[in-house]
Amino acid sequence: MPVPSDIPGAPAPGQDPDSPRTPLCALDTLPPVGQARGFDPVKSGRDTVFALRRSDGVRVYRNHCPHQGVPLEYRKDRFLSGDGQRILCYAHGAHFEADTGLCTDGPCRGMSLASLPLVIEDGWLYLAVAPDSPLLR
Amino acid sequence: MNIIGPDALVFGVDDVDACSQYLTDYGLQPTGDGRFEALDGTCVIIRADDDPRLPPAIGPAPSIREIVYGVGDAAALEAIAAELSKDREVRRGEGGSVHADDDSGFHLSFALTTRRPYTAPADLTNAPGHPPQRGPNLLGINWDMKVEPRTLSHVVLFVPNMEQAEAFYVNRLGFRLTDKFIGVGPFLRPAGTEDHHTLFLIQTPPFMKGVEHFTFHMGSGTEVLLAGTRFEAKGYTTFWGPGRHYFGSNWFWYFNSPLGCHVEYDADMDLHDDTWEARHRPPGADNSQLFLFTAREKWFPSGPPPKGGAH
Repeated sequence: MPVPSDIPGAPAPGQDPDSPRTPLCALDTLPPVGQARGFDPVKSGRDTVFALRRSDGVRVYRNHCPHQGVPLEYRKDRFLSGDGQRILCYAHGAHFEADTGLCTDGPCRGMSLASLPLVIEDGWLYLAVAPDSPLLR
Repeated sequence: MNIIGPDALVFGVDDVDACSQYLTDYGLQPTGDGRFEALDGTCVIIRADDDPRLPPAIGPAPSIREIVYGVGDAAALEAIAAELSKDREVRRGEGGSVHADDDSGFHLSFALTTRRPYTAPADLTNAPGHPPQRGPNLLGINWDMKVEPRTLSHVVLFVPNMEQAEAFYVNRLGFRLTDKFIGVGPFLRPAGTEDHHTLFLIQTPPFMKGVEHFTFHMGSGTEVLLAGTRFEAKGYTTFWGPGRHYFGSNWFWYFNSPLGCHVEYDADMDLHDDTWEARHRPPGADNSQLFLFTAREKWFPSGPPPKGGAH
């Protein structure tokens, strides 16, 4: 089954049920540490996941606050604190560690953002999640 | 006590530029020194969270630092100062302003109101069965119609003890209860306005203490829908709405914001006087709104006929 993607140039790997793939972007288009980018990989109409670089690699989280299940950003791609070092939910002010997704302050303290498994291959960033996963809606 | 309502909300933030852009895009007028004004001069004030002019924070930045209430006369200021001095520290400032904390720990100040008189058009409606409000050849809308926040409407606070918080505003500052969500919180109206509420309190765990949202009054439901549509087109994220609330009858559309709380557009709120008897209802989706919609991209019924034949 081909990957439903219209990312220009994105390879479309076959879906091996044991190693599902959903492409996000060419790795070199991901912004530098301190910024984040939202993605709508299955064309749901809004950004359902977001990716950010950290010093030791890339993280991708589901755009779904554990407090009320709402989107975190206040504007397209604005998921981080002013200094770019924490993730903030701009709905009710929850603060999350950028490295782990753990909520350190706010209404869902002690809970975590869902961190999505990812694969980097041939310069492309993929989620190791099938395109029909409810995590991407 | 002739308290009119909030004249200014002061926030300490970690990203002054983002908040300034946000409030400008929302429709407020930047007038310098972190001040963003509606048509009547009521405003939001943005400062860096380490600005020494700010009262102490009650949570991590971004967060509310001070709520400035406008009062109608100097006698009210003296009455507030005398009342609050009975059991807490009260500081007097410029122009006789009164500074004190409420029972939840929010920093309040009271000053002679800075609201300016202004006039702005109403959204006139032609309703069959009622004399027309717009006569022949008067258009209801146009492409570039201005929609500007007119006046600071209300602020909503997360408080750890809503009964205690309500008692403070009612018993000490003369607010009236207009309606109440049972177990969640009261809608409160100060003596100097007929607006359904300028303050709503929501019971939450103590670590959530802060502002849930604030909103400015727009001119009509149409203006809420148009302002929200334009704001969303700039990339801002809807939290809830558009819709119309049950208590207060006001239209609403809430957005996420970099100020640490939601920011709303609202319009067409009910007015009340002291003969009103408060309604008590359980909270929930049914009681909080008459209807709720989700905005979508503009669309036009055209294009190729659907597969399988024309209709």
